Amino acid sequence: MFLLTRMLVQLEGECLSVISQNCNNSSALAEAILGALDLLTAGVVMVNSGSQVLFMNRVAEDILSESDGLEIVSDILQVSTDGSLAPIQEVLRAQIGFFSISTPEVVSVCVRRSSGTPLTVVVRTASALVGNGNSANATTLVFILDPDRPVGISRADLRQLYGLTYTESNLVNWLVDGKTLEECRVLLGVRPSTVRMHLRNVLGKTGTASQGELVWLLFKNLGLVGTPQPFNEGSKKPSPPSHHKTIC
Amino acid sequence: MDLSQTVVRVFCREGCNCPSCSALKPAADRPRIRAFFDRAAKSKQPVRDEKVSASPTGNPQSMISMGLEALDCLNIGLLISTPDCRLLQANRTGQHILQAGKFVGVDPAGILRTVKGVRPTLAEIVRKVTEPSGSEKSEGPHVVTTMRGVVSEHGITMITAKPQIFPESSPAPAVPLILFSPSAGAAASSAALNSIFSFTSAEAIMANLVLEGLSRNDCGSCLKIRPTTVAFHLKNMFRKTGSRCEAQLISKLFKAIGLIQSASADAVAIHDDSRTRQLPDVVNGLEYDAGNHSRSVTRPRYLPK
Repeated sequence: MFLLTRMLVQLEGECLSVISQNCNNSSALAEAILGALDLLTAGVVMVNSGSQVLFMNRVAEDILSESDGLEIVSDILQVSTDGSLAPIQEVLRAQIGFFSISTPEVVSVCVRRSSGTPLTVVVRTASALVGNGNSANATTLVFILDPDRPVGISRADLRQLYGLTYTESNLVNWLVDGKTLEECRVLLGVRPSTVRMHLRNVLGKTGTASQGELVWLLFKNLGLVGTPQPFNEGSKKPSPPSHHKTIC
Repeated sequence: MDLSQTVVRVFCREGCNCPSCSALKPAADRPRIRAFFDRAAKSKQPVRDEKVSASPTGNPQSMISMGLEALDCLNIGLLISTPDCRLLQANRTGQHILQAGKFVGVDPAGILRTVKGVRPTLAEIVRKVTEPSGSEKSEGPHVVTTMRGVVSEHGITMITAKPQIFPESSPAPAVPLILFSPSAGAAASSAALNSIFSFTSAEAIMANLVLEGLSRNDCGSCLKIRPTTVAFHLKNMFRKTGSRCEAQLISKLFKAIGLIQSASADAVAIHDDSRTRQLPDVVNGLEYDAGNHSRSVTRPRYLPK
């Protein structure tokens, strides 16, 4: 463990020295990192101590554009609590009392909204890495998770990685999206024995032992990156279940 | 095809019009990030618009550290390399993956190396995304490579995005490599699970084991409880999440919590490849969590009260 920590420190130092050598490359580096954040299926927003939005990824933009529960009013990220809007930093201050500049804190808040299940908002307060201990410069990371957003893994990826067929990819996408096998059977319009056969084939191809393990594996490997929606490619809005039926 | 493989997905080149690419990288996207940096560069004259406001923190350096930290919180490894595989930057999770040395490692000169026996090598993958297209046209616009490891265990999913090239400003493009390691644990705090699903502390511990990918029997033997107790907890979790089977429960948990590290990071040993050693840490951390935290606030234990 000690050795690991030492190696880690050494590696970190190495990285920092490399970065200082490539100072004029830092904007390309930052763009690469922010581009990576844009691939995620979780919303990521960076706000400063005044709740002003510094950066948000595409999913965060999408969720915030609905202005339900969380809103952006004149650059300031606002949370609706009991019907009134308040800047997110004030809500956090009310929750945790004070901000410790040196140690990052993780606070999770459940934001109710008028339609659908509540949004999960996880906030990581500023760490010592940024802002040189100056609270005015402290940046806070806000993660927004919307349980109602469908998870879609592209058929091409599933075919390439596990060799799944068209029907199998549909089945897998519904399972990952939280449907039961019975619901998948209805969507596919086949008999229970057929859908069980498809599932058995999928389990064989992915090397998993159970339906739960399959869902776990796909979430861990592919479900967290913004691959296109498999049923309605190119469109941003999730396709309703009725649309699935027409395809099958 | 088994799980002992490293999966590499290489996204297409710029200018590609395939549906998956246009969904991933709409044309409006690049100018958005670009505009941010233009504004950040001249932060002395603050410009405001609806999306991004220039502020003292809006410099690339702080964005780099915040971005890396964001991916760390999500348990996703990120390596940034030059086209000749020199490591420019790595977040903590990425460094852990490099340290484990199962698939990729870094040599003293700072060059990323693929572990012997893993094919294709990282150099080949990076070359595929940085070289001008032409030779690969027959393969189609979407290049997907499957890399097999030598050890039989869960592989790492690596996603290589096309480098963002500034023609005028940057001398070398930076290639982001996104790494997912299934063995990296998700640690949702019991406080978070309580506020979302009103789970009890025992259910929160179970939920974390389920997010680790453990089966019913493994959960029981790990927590040293009987199968009937496991079934009892699971039944209550099904009721609280409104799910009907284990797969649905896993899906709902992932959608609501994702891979966000909401438990105290120091209490949880992540990236330890042997699960049996790792799990007691998770459980201890959560037990501590459950005792000390209010309903919706997670506070690391070393903080002054």
